Amino acid sequence: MTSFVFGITMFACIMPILWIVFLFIYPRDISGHKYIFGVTNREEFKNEQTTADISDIVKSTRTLAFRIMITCTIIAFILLFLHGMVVKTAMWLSFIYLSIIGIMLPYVSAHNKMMTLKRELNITSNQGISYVDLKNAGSIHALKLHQLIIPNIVGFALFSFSILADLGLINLGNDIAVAGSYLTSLISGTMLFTGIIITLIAIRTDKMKNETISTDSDINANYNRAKKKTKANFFISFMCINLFFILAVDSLLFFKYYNVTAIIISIAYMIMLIIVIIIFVKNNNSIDKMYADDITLFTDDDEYWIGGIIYYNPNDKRILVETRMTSGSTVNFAGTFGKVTAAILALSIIASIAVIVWSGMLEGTPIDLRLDGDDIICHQLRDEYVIPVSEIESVEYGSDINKKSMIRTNGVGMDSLLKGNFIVDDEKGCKIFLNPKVKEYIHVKTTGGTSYYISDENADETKAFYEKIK
Amino acid sequence: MIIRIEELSDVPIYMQIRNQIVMGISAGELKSGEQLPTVRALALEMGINTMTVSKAYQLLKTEGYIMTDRKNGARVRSNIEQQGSISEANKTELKRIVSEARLSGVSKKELLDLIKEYYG
Repeated sequence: MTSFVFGITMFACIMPILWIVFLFIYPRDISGHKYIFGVTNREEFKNEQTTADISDIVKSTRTLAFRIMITCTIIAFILLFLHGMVVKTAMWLSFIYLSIIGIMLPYVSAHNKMMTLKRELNITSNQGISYVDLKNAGSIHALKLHQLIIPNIVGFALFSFSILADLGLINLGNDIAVAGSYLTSLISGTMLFTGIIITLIAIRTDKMKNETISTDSDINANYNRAKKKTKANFFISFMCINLFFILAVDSLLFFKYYNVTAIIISIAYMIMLIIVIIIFVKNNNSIDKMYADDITLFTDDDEYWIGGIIYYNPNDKRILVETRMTSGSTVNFAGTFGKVTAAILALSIIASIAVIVWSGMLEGTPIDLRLDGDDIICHQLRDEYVIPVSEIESVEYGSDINKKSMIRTNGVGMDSLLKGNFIVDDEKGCKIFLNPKVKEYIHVKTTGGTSYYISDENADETKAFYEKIK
Repeated sequence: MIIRIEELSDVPIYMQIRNQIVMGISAGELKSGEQLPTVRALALEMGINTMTVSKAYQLLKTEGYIMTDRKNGARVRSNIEQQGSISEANKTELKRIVSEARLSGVSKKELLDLIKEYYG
């Protein structure tokens, strides 16, 4: 069931995003755009023959990208029917990486075609020439800092509330199963951290270089003000959605049906986020179209855009630059910050693969229960629980572990392995070491008040072990 | 006023900034007393080191085109000292330009017309 819900969630989150990315980076009509596949749209591209050539490139690239998208959708649909959490996660992870590469490939190919066209047209590049409007330098900002700080403060208050609830310093009543699991604290803390990162990016973006598109300072000022306002609105909306999520997660402390409500909230969060991104990209494109005729100056740094996607310019000291593929910002990978970002990205990819391998080992290694002298030993991979027989108060044999309500505080929660600290039927601090596919389990209660729920590799061995220790 | 920076030029960037600000003041694009962006803001806009902008401002200040103070930042001087003469360095530069123009077949009248246009 967990595996199926995981598949559905991945499908629902990834496929709409991929299709939205497809629609934005492969539009039907690209003529009014500032960049065509990462190459600056210029006057020389507007004569009849060149327009026809560019139209051919756009059409063939879009067709290829569409075919890749259809293939991705079919593959994603097939992935829904896979069995086994680890296999499924590994396949989804591979799918994410491959689909991102797949959707980029036509773009990179089209970028190369555009660069070739540029060379064929003998367009002498004015590479290394940039313009700065002295009147507007450093004076155009759209971000009001309090609009970001207030959501962060509220988010921090909500995070503090969930921490206090988890620590039991705020009594929410006996029916609140999830309090004490630190699940709410973990989620709201993660979202609070996300909010702080968004705030830092928003501040940095607001301080980004103004674009000089015209010799008229007023046009430059209005253009940059509109652009920065759109970006500021996006970040503020993002912060508000983030705050909504923290608030909703905290409110779950008062609900009994945590999992279902949590999925609904996550889906609502994703939908809101997608809407905000769509609005932002549309507004950004509208501004570019509105000012398309006013552009008389442009900085030709096409050569510094690898595949039209990655900006690598050692002569540029800026950290963030406007991205050419969609809307928003990207880092200059030639700078220190860019190199650190690239390293973090590479590490994230390696870490995600390592997690999958580790999960495979967890799922593939059976639990071993044994009696070693006067101790019960529960062993799997590097984890071991030791229960001294002398401390056992009672031992019960249960027939269906799945009938119990179990909320993980920490540890592993997989289809075939539950290991760690759990809240079982509202009893906090229970230690679990079992395979839920083996429904039979042994409930050991110690004199210290700790409950252990354990099982062996299969039902027969679990029963045999129970007979040995009862 | 728009400043054009050529990264690949033989002229150092600080000198390009200095030259264009001087031309801006001369052409009236920068009025006397007009505020210039801070060193940090201009460096950020240009994607260059703050030291480069600082060097340009320092040069402009030494030459008497701008004034700087901690409170108001950099401003165009309202009373730029008028020496009424061309510096030796500029005379040499002008001689080079005139020589190149003559070798390129530019007539004296064309050159004078151009000077008149630039002089205003």
